[in-house]
This record gives sequence, C-alpha cells and structure tokens, in this order.
Amino acid sequence: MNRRGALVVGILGVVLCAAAVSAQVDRTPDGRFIMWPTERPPRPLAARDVNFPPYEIRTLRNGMQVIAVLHHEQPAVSMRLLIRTGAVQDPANKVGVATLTASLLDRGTQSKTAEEIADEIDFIGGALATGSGSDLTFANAVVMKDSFDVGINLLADVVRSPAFAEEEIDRQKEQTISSLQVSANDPAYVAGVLLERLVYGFHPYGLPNSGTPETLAAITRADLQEYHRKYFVPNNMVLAIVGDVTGEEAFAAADRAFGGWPRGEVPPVALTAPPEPTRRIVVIDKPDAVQTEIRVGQLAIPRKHNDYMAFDLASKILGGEGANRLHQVLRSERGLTYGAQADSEARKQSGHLVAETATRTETTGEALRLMVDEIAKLQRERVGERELSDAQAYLAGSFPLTIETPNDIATQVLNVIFYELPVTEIGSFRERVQAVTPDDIQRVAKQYIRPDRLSIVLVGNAKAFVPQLQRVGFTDVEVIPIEQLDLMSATLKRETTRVENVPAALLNPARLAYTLSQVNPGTSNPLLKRVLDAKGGTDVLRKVRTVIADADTTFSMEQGPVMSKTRTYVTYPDKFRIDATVAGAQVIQVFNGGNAWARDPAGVHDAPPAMREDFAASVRRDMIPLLLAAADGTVTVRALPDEGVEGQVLKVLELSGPALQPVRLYVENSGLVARQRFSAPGPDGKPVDAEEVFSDYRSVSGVQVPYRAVVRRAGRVILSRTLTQVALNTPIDDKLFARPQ
Amino acid sequence: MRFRIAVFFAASIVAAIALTPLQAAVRPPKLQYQIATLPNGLRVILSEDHSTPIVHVSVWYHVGSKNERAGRTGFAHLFEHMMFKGSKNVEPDSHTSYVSSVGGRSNAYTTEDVTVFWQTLPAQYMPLALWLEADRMATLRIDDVAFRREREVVKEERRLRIENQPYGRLSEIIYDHAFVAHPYKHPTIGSMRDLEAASIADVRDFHGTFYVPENATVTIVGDFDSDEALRMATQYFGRVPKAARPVPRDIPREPEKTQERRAIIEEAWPLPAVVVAYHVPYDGHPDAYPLHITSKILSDGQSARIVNELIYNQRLCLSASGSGNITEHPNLFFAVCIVQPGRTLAEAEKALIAEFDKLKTEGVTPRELQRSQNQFARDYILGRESNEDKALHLAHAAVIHNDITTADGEFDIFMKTSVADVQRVARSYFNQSNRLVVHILPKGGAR
Repeated sequence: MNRRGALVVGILGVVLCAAAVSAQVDRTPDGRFIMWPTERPPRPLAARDVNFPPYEIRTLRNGMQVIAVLHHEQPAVSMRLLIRTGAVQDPANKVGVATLTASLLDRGTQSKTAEEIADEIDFIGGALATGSGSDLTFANAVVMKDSFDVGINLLADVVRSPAFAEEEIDRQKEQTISSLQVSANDPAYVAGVLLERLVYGFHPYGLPNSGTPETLAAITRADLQEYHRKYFVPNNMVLAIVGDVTGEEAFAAADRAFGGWPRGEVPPVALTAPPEPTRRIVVIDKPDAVQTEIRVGQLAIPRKHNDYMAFDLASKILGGEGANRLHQVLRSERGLTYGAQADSEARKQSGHLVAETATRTETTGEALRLMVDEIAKLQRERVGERELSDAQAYLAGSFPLTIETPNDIATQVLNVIFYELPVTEIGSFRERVQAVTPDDIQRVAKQYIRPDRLSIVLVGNAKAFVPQLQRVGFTDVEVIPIEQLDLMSATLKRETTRVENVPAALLNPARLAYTLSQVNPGTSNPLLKRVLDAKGGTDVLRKVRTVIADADTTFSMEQGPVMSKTRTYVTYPDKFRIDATVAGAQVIQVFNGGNAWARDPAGVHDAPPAMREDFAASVRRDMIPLLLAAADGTVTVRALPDEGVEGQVLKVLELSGPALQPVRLYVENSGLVARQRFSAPGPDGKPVDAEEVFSDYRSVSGVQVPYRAVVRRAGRVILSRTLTQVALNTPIDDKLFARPQ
Repeated sequence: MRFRIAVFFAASIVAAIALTPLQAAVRPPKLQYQIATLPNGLRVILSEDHSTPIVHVSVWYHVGSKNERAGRTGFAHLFEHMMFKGSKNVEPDSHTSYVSSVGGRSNAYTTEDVTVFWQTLPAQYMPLALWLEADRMATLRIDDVAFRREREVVKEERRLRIENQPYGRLSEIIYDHAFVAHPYKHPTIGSMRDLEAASIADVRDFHGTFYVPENATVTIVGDFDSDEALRMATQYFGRVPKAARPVPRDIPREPEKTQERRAIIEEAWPLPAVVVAYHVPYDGHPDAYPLHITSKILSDGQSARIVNELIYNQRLCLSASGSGNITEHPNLFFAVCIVQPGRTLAEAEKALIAEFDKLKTEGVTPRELQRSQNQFARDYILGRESNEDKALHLAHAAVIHNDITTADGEFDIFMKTSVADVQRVARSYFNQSNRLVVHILPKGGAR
C-alpha cells in the first residue's frame, strides 16, 4: 500500500512550513504520523433558553391532586398515580403489608381476575406496574393515545377495588419469600438493607419493606383490606397524566375515573424515632465472596429541610457526579474498585448519608479506611471554591437533561407535590444550587456529619479481611455469618433461644425485637441492673463524691516501656487532677468543668481544644457517673449481641447520649465490666477504636474498683496501670483543681 | 465504562402494526435524519429535535468482544476504559469532568458487537463533545501505569457484576456451553486470566486497528442546526487520518449443530436454574423477525406464555423468560427458569421445552400475534422519547445492518409477519438437535 508513504510525504510538506500553522506532527498510539493541533476545548455556541414545559395542577372535589403534563411528540399517554402510604404505615409486627398490598393491586379486582387484567393491558400494547417504597405506593400505566380511556379506567379499578383473593395472596407471599432467599445471598442487597437497619434502628426506614418470612406469615387478608381501606383514599393521592392529550381531556378523564370515589380520613402514624447515631461496625461473613461490599452511613436530614440543598451538594462533593472524591481516591488513584459513590438519601420522615463501594477481599481494610477518612475530611476541612463550583456546575447545568422526556417532566412535578415543597422550587432550582457557598457546606458538614458515629457494614469473606480492619484501626467489629442475619432481631442474629417471661412477644417477633433494642430508662434493663449491683448498687454509687487513687503506670512508647507513678484526684461530677512523675519530671494535668491545663517542666499551658475535649470525654466515661446516668435514663442504653473476646463470651451494653460518644461495656457473668470500648481521637485527629480492659476488682468502701487496667488505641497497648491505694469520699481541697502555678 | 451484554437489544428496534382493523396500533412517527460520510470514511448521522435544549453525541466503533483474539478475552471492554485515560489535549480522566462541568453526562459501554461512547449535554456544548471524541480517536495516550491500574478496575467490575452476585455467571455459563468456535462463546467482560495477560502493546495495536474513522459512526441528536453540526463534525473528525490497513473482519464461524448438548454444573446460587437454548440466525435475517415476535409471545407482560404458565399457573419458577438474543452474528434464543423451592429441575426443563414444542405444533393465535405487534408499536414509541433512544436506533441500523433505513423500515416487516411465519420459524430452530440444556444446581446440593 502506498497510502502510508503518501501520508508521510504530505506531512513533510506541512513540516516545512510548520511555522505557518498551529498544527504539529504527532504519532498515533500504533505509530502512524498524524497532524494534530495543540488546542483548548472549543467555545460553546450561544446558550439556549431553558423553559420548563407547561403543566397544570388541579384538585378534584374529593381531594385528589391531578397534574397534567402535555407532550405531543409521541402518540402515548402515561399515568402515574402516587399514594401517600408505604412501609411507614405497616401495622406493628406486620412489616410487609404495604409491599404486599401494592404487589396485589393488579392481581385481581372486584370485577376482573389477575389474568383478565394482564390480558387487557398487554393486548392494547400497554403496560401496568404497581409497587411501593417506604413513603409511597405507586400504580403506573402507559398506553397509546387511542387507549387512554381503557388505561385510566383500569388504573382506577386496580387502585380502588383490589380483590385480595386468598389464592393471590398465597402466590405473592411465595414469590416474595423465594425472592428474599435470593436477595439474602446477594452481598450488595444485604449491605444496603443492613446499613439502613443500623442507621434507622426500628424506625420503618430501617426495616426490610418486603417483610421477612416470619412477618409475611403473620399477614392476613384482613390486614391488607384494612390497610387499603385506611390509606387508599383519593385525598391521599396524586395522579400525573403525561403525554399526547389536552389538559381538558386529562382532567375530564381523571374526574370520570376517580371523581366518584369519596374522600376519607387518613389516620396519622406514630413512629419510633431513629436512634442516636452510634459507631458500629458489622461484618456479614460470606466465605465464598470474592469482593467486599462496603457501606458507611449515618442519619442525616429529610428531604423537606432548609439545609437540604447544601447537604446534598456536600454529599455530591464526597461522592456524586460532577465531583466525587471517593471515586478519585479509590478508583482513579488506586484502582481499588469499579465505583465509589456517596449520596444523601433524603426521604419524607428522615434521611441518611451513605457512601458505598465494593473492593476485592485483599484491599477491604484499605478501602474502608480511605472512605472513613474522606468522610472525616469533609466534616473537618472547608471545601475548595473550585470543587464546589464544579459540583454546582454539574447540578445546575444538567437541569435541562432532567426535563427531556414527558416522564422526566412529570417526575419533577410529582417530587415537589409529594414532598410538599413549593412548586416554585422547580423554576428556582438552578439559582438555589448556585447560591450555596463554601461556608454553607462547612456549616452543614460540621452540623450533620459525625465521623466518630458512623454505621459501617462490610459483606464478604470475613476471615480474610477482618485482620486488615484491625491493622487500619477498626478493632471493634461484630461478625455475623450471612445465614444468621435477621434484620428483625435486636441483635441482628436469628434468635436461637427465646426470651423468658415475655409470652406476648413470642407472637410478635418484630415487637419483641423492638422492645429489646429500645431505650430502657432506669434499671428496667436487667443487664444494666446487674452491672449496677455488681459495681456496688445505685445507693452506694450515688454517695461517692470524691476519689483519690495512687497507681503505677507503664506507658508503652516506641523506644520501650516508660514507668510512672501517678496520683489521681476526682471530685464528681466534673473535676479531676493527675499528678505524675515521668522519667523524673513532674507533670500535672487538671480538668475543671470544661477548663483544662497542663503543667510540665516547660511551664503551665492551657490545654489545646483537642486535649480538653479528650479530658471531658473521659469524665463522661468514668464508670460511676456513667452507670448512674444510665440508671437515671439520661443516656441511651442498648443491648448488643454477645461477643466472644479472647475466649470469653461477654454481654454487651452500649451507652450513648447527645453529649456522650457511644461507649460499650463488656460485662462478665458476675456483672462486672471487663472492658470498655469507644472511639477516641488518634494522633492525627482521626478517630480510632479505643479499649480499656479491667481486672483485679477489689471492694473499696462497698464499691468494686478494678485495680488493674490496660488501655489500647487502635489495637495497640499504650499504657497499663495498677492501683496501689484507693480512697473514696476523702475531702479534697478545691484549690487542687485550679490552674496549676 | 460499563459493559453490558446486549440481550434483547435488537428486540427494541423493531416494531409491529396491527393486522386487523379491529385494534389498529398507533403508528409511530418516522425519525427525521440525514447521514453523511467524510472523506476519511467516518459516518455522521444527524437528527434534529428542538423540544429540549440538549444534545446527545455518540460514537459507535464497530468492534466488540467478538473481535477479540484467543487469549485476550475482555480486551475490547478493557480498551473502552483506556479511552478515558487522556489524549493529546485532554488529561487522563478529564473527559468525564469536562462534560460534567457543563452539566453533561458521559459514559461508554461494550457489547459483543460494538463499543459505544456517548455524552448528553446542554445543546450549546455540542462542539465540546465532538472535540473530545475526535481527540481520543486520533491521539489516545497510552501509559503503562494507567493501563495496569485500569486493569484492576476492570477486574473489580468483573467481580462486581459477574462473580459476586447470585446468577451473575448465568450468561457466561450459557454461552460457554453453547458455542465452540465463534467468539460469542466468551463473555464481553472476559476472563481474569486473559485480562491479566493483556499488555500495553495490545492497547496500541487495538487502537490502530479498530479505532479508526472508517470503523466509527458519530450520531448527533438534539437541539442543533444540521448544517452547523456537520461542519463542526467535519472540522474535528475530518482531520483524523484514515487507517493504515483495512479493519479485519475474520471472525471464526460457529459450526452447524447436529445433536443436543446437555450440561450439569454447580454454582453457589440460592435456587437452582434450568436453561434451554437454541441457535438462531443473525439480526437482519428474515427469520429474525418472527423470532422477535416469539420473544414477545413467550415473555412480554404477565399474559405472555412462559410468564403466565410457568410462574403464575404452575408456580414452578421464581422467574422465567424466553427470548432471542439476536445480534450481528448468529446467536441464541434461550429460556431460563429459576426453580421454586420444592420443585425439580426435570419438571422445569420439561415445562420450558413444552412451550417451545407448542409453538411448533399448535403455533400462536392471531390474537397473540396482534398483542405482540401492539407491544412492538409501544416499544417503538416509548423507545424514541429521548435523544439517546433515537441515536441508539439510528446508529444500530447504520452499524449493524449497514442500512440506516431499517431504523424505521423494519416496522413494515412486522406488519407482514403472520402466524404461519412464527410457526415455520419455530419448526426451523426449536429442535432437539439444535438445543442446549443446562441444569445449574446449588453447590453441594443433592442432585
């Protein structure tokens, strides 16, 4: 072939007069010569106006809202009916009612069997779909324009008059249970539902909408009928009619099909509040997995919230289109994953932030560490102007892409109606995006993101990656075999033993689970009561005013152990002082109701904020006031699954509160606390798992005091301490708690 | 950046019209377009739609996993990833951020037949999309570090989509057993071993061989002026040189099947599965149209035969379907049943085969044919709402059929399809000697 030769000659010609052109000669990857300019991207053409297409909203006399969106490009009409009810309205102990109801809508009505409905919609080349989520149920139909009446009448029939035939209920339950069996083996599915369960607890958002084999078994035809009667009323619905019709045709058809349906009272629902965020790492063990599905999340804000836009942008910077730090760090820089994202899942009642990825087993620890660090960084550091403006440019710029098809347009309108937002929000979307500043992002990140209280789920080959987690500082891990996972259980594990003396609860596993997991103020939690009794009893504990303790402490330093003698003074509730002799030097640390100082050979210093916060946290974790706060109900107490630790099975209580970082107490059979675990700032300010191991309990004035304690950070021993002398209620001069001289 | 196996792909590009005046299907409007070929062989398809101020730009390279050589399975898709790793004027990973920073979206996918790169963006940024695509067509950067990292990403993609989820390997299992010679035997994502074996030299060679203008079709749909768009496409793509050699099309043929093949394998899936598959002809073959109709009759909607009979009436399958994966080269028509607990694989096999036999012995009813034609009309109409949809139909017609008029023209072929055609085609292909049956048991489960 001469082509190549000719090309080279041609190029030489260009090279000879290269000064005259901006182009230059390059080689293609396979070695061919080409002439290709060095240039910047072309300038855009003139911008077009973006106009939201016309739509109209009317309310029928019975309260049903109807939206008409006219679009005449294709001869089809789509109908989207939303009912403001979903899994949130599931009756107590009957998780799955809303989902089952929705799936049965098109499986037979008063006048048509399931097969007749299927035949009718399929024959006209239409489609009908029903389903539900946490907050809503939908019934959608699409038909060609000449079948509009058939379509809307069928839609009205399935929503208004479902038969709930026993045979169909049975069939649908069987399908659901088989599907659950498949889903329960799908790591991505398991990771997603478990994360929501950890974040929302027993709030309906935390429970599997489709129910479980146990809850489905308990659901009867009467339950479905009652649920339908209560919530399927026209004043609880929004219908969007979209496509090749006129507004008058749309509203007239809606009135004909739905107008005769009388309005009804919609009963309010009482919801369990989602729990206080708490740090928890749950590993679901699937030994044959080749990849680990990772989810990291926490409670955030609902959709209808003044901070929604700023928070949504913050989440997009973390892991959304137009920015996505997670993708950058995990995929582009390290090739750890095919994808990493974060999203603010803002729903009607509440919302959460979730970051997700999947990575090979061998890189699980690394990927989790990076994800958690990115979340902490977003909370800690101000975002750059450029990064924010990129995220804004995408979000605002892509608006015309979100109004392309008739259904896109309907979605926009349905969203504002459903979340009860002003309809002007559609038109002002781009301005509201652009109005967000780095200060706003900083503020919402500080306000809502809690890097020390993240819920973390990992689904994969636990044996292979749990040691990695420990190496990167996640030591406090619960491992549950995948076949034992039960989202309806307070412990997340299938109950093998039944709780005694709660016969009613046996009938209602969901209620039982709920009861066991909830805040138990006072000593009604039997384990808490046992701990209090073992410690000395509430009455004795309440009388403790001061502690003076001498100890020999060994610090594990890199260069070797360093011995120290210490004397600690405590005056409850909020003063302490430690006098230490370390390597011949005197060191004093004082904390007094929020102020903190340190004195060392170099002089007296105000404690830096991080140290002050660390002191304050250790005061809140002090066992005596901590247990009393639990007894008084001023902190939340939760029972967690038993854990085997170094060959011993321990019961676990978690205490947390608005000002109290979650602390876990690992309790021996005797009721004595053998370990305490919590999250503490590491050397670089990022949280690490901290653990204190107690032993050699001795009675001091009726209070059991552990004479020996070992303190670990991120799995490494940093100090061990042996008490030599302890005195309770010896008066302490308040001057000791003043700023040292 | 994602790959997909284009099952049912071709099904969406065909349509039907009612045969009887009783229930005339609404006829979809015809697509308006023009097509041009630049001197370097690149084809440009333009279709204006001014309803929303956005534009979709796609580039189809006529290369997919069936063009891979032995020992390099998965390479077409791995190469697709490399197209995001920078070119002369575009830094690595910047393609996506250029597009997103103006509010656009972009991505790519690879099938057995084609590799498609696309962007949808506000209309005024059409020049940006054309410029970006031309830059990487001509001057892709090839860097060993980036290649190795991206190979790890693709291995994660394989783990995510194929290995780590229940039924993820189903398609791979079917094709591995069904084919012996044609590269449809191997999955688009490839094998771990072949991905590991791929080298930077392969990347260079692949770009020079397949990523050349005569193997590319640029489709622009949306809010623009065609004259201006063609001028710009010519400006940016016109300077890409022709290939040094013709694009190779030497793909091994699959031999005729002469006897039934059966396989029993084990997978760690929660419920067992049965597959019944038949070899069928290529997209565009006259028999392909009745086969599309058959797919609808068996699987589209709750009233379709397999759905209604095996899932609803017999309660034998958790999910079940049967349809043709009709592609550029002869492929498969296959049915799958995920078997309900307590039911046997033998029952499921018998029930699936019974449905195929019924098509041969009893044929289909005029009403069923009518229904499937109405469903085609629906797919035609709803499948052309967005610019991306329209670009897909136009490019598919131009690349796979090498005849853009089929984007609309197939509609009439369906009009002429009769119940006799459906039965004749069933008798031609749904035969035991042309059949593969696979039983997939849960690992360690009793047989």
